[in-house]
Amino acid sequence: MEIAEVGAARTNAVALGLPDTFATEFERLYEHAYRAAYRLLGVQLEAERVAQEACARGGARWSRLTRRGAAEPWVVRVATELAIEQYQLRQRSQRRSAGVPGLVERLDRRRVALHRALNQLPPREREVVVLRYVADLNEADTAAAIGCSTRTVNRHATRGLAALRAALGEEHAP
Amino acid sequence: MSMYDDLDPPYIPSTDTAFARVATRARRLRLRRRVALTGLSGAATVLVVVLASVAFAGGGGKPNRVTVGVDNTTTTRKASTTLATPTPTVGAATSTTRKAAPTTTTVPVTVPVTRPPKATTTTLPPAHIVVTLYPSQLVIQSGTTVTVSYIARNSGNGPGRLAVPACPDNQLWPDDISRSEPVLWPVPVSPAAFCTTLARTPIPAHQSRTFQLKLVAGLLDGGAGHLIPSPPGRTTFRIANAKLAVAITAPNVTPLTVDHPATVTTASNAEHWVDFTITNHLPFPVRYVDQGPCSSDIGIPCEATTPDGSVTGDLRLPPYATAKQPLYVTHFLLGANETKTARAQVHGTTSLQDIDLGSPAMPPGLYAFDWDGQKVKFTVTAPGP
Repeated sequence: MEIAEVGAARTNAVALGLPDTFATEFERLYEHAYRAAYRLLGVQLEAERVAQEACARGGARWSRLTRRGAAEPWVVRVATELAIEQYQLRQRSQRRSAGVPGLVERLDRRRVALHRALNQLPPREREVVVLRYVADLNEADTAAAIGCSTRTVNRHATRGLAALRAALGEEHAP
Repeated sequence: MSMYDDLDPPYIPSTDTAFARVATRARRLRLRRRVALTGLSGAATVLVVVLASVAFAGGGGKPNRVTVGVDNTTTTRKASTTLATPTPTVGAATSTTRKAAPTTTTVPVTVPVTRPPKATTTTLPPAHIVVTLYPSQLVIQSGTTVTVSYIARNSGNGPGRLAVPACPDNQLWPDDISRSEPVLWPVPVSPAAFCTTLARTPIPAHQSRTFQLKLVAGLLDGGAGHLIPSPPGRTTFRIANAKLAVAITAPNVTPLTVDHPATVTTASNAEHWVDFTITNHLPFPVRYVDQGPCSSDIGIPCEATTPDGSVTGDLRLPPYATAKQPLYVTHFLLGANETKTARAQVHGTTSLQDIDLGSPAMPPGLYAFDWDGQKVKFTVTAPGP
């Protein structure tokens, strides 16, 4: 007799061929990814989708990520990248419907200023600044997420933060 | 405390729904990657075909003799289509030359056809289990234990199995406080693990089962078995689809107190050491969570040294190169009923970020900052000579 696994949502992981450890780590992963995405997007629905996609990508290559010991930083990194993409997509669609006050304008000014400043950073510095100061990863995790040394992370973080402050000005400076 | 915590979401949505979607999506991604692998091995097969065509070019006449190593075959990984090793086929007009080396044969090549993998789908029996918790709301005092019941009902037409975390005590902690904000509260020296295994109970169709579980308002010390009462606050306990709104009231005894001066004075762009004491009122050792005398609201930074003198730094930031987590969740130990003296360094600067590079000085004036939940009057005097 075949018996279905029903009830605790976590058992879906086993049923769908995902590792047990992914299920146990999921809540922490999801929250970290969601928080980072929300900080960049400011819209719950979008942040949820981004966090879910990032976790799904992490789950699809879970064993490889855990072997490297960089599962959470990797997922958070994907979440921030997707969130920035989503934000830019939203901006483009708003430009197409020019004249109509869009979501971006209603968002927190600080968040808008942050994205504008991040856009001016070189890709690597932007990546490090987002992971360190928006997603709250520490140096070691940031290094693991982007595959470089903590020294490189520090260098990019210092430069990126200085550039960010210069771009943000006094009003929105971190 | 992060520099962008003011952009934080007001709450974290339920992970249960998200998990189901994520698990399904992850499975699709895995399948897609398998298909991609199969596609790659298919490309290798095509390459072999091209080589064989070139080798046999010319048509008619005497077939060219081609030496093909047996290990030229392509074998996909276990998840994808597996190609059988091509069987050397000897044509009627082709002679076979056997050489001393056992792995080399002169043969025409027969290339097997690669077929795309068949997608498999699993159909689950129509079991449908719904869990209902009694009561649906709970008020519990910090440091106490309550037993609640829940009923799992299978309203489907097939047998099902309820899988719930298997643990004797379900620890409650108002996560919305402790996760995002450091709090003036002790935590266990060696936190006991939350439930990591699942208990599975079969439930036949159209039947229900009643279970009981124990809720503990606090965190257990895995090493010593002590219960650290949780801070007062609200949280949600979840089991399967059911949720229980929990309000945790204050414990009988405040487990930790901090005594510090009500006024602090420092010169602009200078620093000033402030002594303060931390007392553990619990009869067993605890770890202490500190956030230092700092407030992001008014931009007054702080720096503190742990009582054991091991770390000096901005308590809102990780201890730089070595920490895995921010200092305020790694911190230090306090013995049973112990009082320790600590020192905090208050800076007359507007930020501690890149303090070595020179942070802007605070203008002289009267300020106030929040130190472990208490307001402290902060006077900044004119810079010294």
